[in-house]
Amino acid sequence: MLSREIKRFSINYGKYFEPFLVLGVLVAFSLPIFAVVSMTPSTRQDYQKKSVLGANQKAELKVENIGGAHEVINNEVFLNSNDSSYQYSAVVQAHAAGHYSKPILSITNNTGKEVSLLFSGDSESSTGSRYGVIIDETNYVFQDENGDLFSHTAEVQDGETLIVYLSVKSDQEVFFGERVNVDVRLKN
Amino acid sequence: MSKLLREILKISILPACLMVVGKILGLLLAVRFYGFVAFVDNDNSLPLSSQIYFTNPNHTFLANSFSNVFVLAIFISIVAYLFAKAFALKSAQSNPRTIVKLTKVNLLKWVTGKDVSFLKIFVWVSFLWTNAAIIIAATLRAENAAWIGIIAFVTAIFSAWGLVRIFESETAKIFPNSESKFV
Repeated sequence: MLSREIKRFSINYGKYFEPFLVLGVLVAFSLPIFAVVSMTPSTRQDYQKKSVLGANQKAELKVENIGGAHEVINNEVFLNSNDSSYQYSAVVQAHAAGHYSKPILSITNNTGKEVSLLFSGDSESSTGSRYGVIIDETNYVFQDENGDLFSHTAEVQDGETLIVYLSVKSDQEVFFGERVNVDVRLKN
Repeated sequence: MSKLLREILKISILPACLMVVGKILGLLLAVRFYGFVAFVDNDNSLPLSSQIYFTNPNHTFLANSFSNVFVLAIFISIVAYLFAKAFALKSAQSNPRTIVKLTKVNLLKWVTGKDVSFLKIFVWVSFLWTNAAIIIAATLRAENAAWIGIIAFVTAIFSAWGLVRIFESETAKIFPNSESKFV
């Protein structure tokens, strides 16, 4: 009975609802277009992650000494002289010929933009060892076996954390310890 | 009420939802797969006011390319399936060998069911064109890789050609043996 009435109503007045159907079809086609256009991502570099309480995390370059024990690289000293310069030093003890490395610094970029860091360093005496920093599995030598010094630039993307390793390579046995300095400077 | 409008509305709901869901999934996969930092903020200049942001332009480019390819691949697959089904049905009506071939590959259902209509193909192809237009526009604005724009353009051309072929075969049912009179 009811379905018959609905059918009768549909036959008599259904044509008046057709514009709404056209509208429905238009919406069905246009709504996903608007949604997809809105979902096309854009770039904004000033984003800062917010904590659950709504307090903003400080926009900064965070350089931390990782620490920990190592049989060859120890007696670490880490100095943060200002916001753009960091000094790390450690004693490389007497050791057999070979390659040694230790994670020394953790660098987190929360500045909201890409930053460039200049790595350099030296040793206080010359044992003929080669010193460098390992970043992303690449060894950047800052003092070679002849005592020549080099500096290297590394880019840190926003939100990225770099783990920097100190690398020591000796072709022959070293009989005494020496202090090695690593200098990290913000370029921009 | 118009049956045609009701049918168009009924058919278009699935591709409309798939277009949005595909884009969201593509972006989520890109963020998850590449580990990008993304956030949502308001932008009143856009139709729906919400905007997804990345903090690095390279990440934006890659995520947009990834999500566009994802959506395009979904629509190409479905439209290709519908075309294959429609052409198989058409071929089976005039050539018994097609039926034998389809039986061999266990796809006889393609020509026994009547779930592929011109209207369905038209709606799906329309959504494919819409996607292609969005992707081509993004390519021209250098927001995604050029090869994706080229694929979208080529796909749009081929789907138009397929649609015309199906339209011809459908009209041939209404006006048999009078091809020269109605065109």
